[in-house]
Amino acid sequence: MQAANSISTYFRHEFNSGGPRSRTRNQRIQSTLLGESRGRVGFTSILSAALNFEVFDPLETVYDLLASAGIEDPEELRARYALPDEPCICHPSKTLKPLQVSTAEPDDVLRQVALLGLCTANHYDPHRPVLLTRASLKRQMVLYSGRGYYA
Amino acid sequence: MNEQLFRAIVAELIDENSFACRALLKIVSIEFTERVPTLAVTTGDEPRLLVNLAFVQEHCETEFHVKAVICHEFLHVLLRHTDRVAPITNADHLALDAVINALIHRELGAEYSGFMQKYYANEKGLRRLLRPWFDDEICEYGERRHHQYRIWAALYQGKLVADDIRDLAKDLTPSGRIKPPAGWLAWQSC
Repeated sequence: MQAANSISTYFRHEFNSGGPRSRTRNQRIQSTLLGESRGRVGFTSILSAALNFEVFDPLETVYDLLASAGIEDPEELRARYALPDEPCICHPSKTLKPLQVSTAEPDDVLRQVALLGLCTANHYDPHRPVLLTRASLKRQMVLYSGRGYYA
Repeated sequence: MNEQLFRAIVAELIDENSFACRALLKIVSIEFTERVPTLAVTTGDEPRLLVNLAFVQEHCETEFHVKAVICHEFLHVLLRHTDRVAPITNADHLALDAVINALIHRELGAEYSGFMQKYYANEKGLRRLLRPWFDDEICEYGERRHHQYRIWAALYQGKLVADDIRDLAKDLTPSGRIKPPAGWLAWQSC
């Protein structure tokens, strides 16, 4: 029996359901708490953030954008954009279509920069400083409302 | 400082801290050696605590300081840093040590983290994250408003994780060096 531990990754596990020859049957199970709720349990996706810097250095590009916008401190992004005010669960997604930084409106890019700067690889926390690193700016994240759980 | 006194301090520490007891249960032995310059835990399934008593003698002024360095090594075990098989980079080292020192400061107080403040007093750049800040550094950072101070404060409040510090350190290594806005320059000496 196969159980899905995440949206995109499958791990093989053996279970004994108690039925005859249950260890010899194969069944794929795909389930996640992340995404639109089909029952009472589920964390709704509320936002996504993904930027495509092409061949350009993410940090240099963002610093240039900040300077052009007259922003000296990345913390100023917090006041500039309406961001979720509660912690969220994050999950990387390869299916997102990243915003092309070179052609997008700087304001749209900086809003995503603010979101990514408040995310770790699995958590969005509005109470942490806006931390801009190459790793954080290159993440492609979907944010889910934690509804008070985990986030 | 001798082996007997060090072991007595370890015994006292595990009486005081349940987490220290849990760590010690994983550590198979304490070895006193000059093969390590400070203290260390070995990686693998059966970590050993290696202690250079001359280092403890020279740098630990109080029993709290001795307990602080023991706790630091125990936390490497409890946080499963010793389970790693991948090589540890300088950025990893800095990140893991900084998060542990922040945890010690937050949970055990300034008597313990006073060791880190003294031992890392003259560190520059990002390596300053290895210790709590001095009061005059708060002034230097403009009444807690400066971005660097916010990162430092957030780390010591438990709002940043090791990955954050590692990513920051990787960006500031010579190969990853960039020209940041003026306010970020102090990190560049890392």
